[in-house]
Amino acid sequence: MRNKLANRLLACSIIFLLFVSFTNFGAFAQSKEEAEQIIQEASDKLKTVLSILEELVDINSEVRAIISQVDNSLQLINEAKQLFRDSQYDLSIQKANQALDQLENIEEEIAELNKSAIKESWLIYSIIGVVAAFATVGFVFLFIKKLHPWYKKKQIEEYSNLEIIYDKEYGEK
Amino acid sequence: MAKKNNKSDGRNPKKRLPKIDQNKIVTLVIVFCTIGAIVAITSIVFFPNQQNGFTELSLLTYNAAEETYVANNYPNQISQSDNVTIFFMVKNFENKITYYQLQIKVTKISQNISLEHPLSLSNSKLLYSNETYEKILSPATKSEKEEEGAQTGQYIWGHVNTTLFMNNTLATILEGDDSLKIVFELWKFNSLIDDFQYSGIFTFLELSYN
Repeated sequence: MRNKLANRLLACSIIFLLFVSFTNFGAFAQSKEEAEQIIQEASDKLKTVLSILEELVDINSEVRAIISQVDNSLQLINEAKQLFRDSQYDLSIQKANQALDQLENIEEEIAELNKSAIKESWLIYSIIGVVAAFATVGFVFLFIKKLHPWYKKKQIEEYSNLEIIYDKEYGEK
Repeated sequence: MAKKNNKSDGRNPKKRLPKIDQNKIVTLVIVFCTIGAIVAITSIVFFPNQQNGFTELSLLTYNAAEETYVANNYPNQISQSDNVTIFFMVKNFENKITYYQLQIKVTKISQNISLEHPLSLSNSKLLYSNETYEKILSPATKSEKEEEGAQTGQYIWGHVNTTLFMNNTLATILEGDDSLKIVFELWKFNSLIDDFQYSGIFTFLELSYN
């Protein structure tokens, strides 16, 4: 009777241990997958942000500050990759998520910068347009003012040199 | 009706300076202005800031007496029990944002290094994983380009402390040689191919190995 009980207890404990270890293994595998996925997401975001930054023509102090933030995110991603290689998946997820959040904020910052740059460029182009229009009007006015009297003078000179000759032969016919 | 010139009426014509044709001058000015404007707009729109830049890679050692980094007194030997410490510095004069990767490889001393192709992993071994040394740098500004011997700045990566080491796995590439070459290759990220590309910029240390 005691033996039976002991056997049952042993069997139950083995089943319990197997259940616990499988559950843990499942969770472990899940965090590995999750870490891999978030690292990939963060790396893709970094490349997107980098390509947006490469398109910026004016690299002023604001952009330079953004570049150092992007570099900071890169270091976080690389730390996450190292932690992943060391099988520290939870820490790896934490670092990759931190990088991803940072990069999303940076993307928004760049979008804001671009908006203000577009506004500034519109203002500059509008001013240039108005100035150019005035310059054109002035130029045309001066051109006509100078050229028209000269043309009239020339015309009068040309006509004053003309002489009317009556064709007698034609008149007789 | 016919035209008759009054110069032929026998009177001596007055000597006059040659008349400048105003119409021609104005036309010429307009033509030159138009051509100039087209050239200027085309160059701004299609060829913005196409100056060729460059990157500087240097190896340094620390001079404790003067508390400075110097480009001399390089180590000349390495062993499995004795690591070597060296500093590297990268300066971005590329006129654009650049994402760098530095790869440190161990190879035979007789191995040639090319400007076009990186050392293949069949005749060299990586000291660290690819991601260990990576950095995104701002381009140097006009005033930064004129600075001489600058050691810090947003366009500078360094001085990065690097430990060079040897172990049995790395030693297999030497095939029993008692000297080796540690090559520092600089790679740049290329957005078009979505990967790093060898820049052709490298430097190396020759060390005896025991």
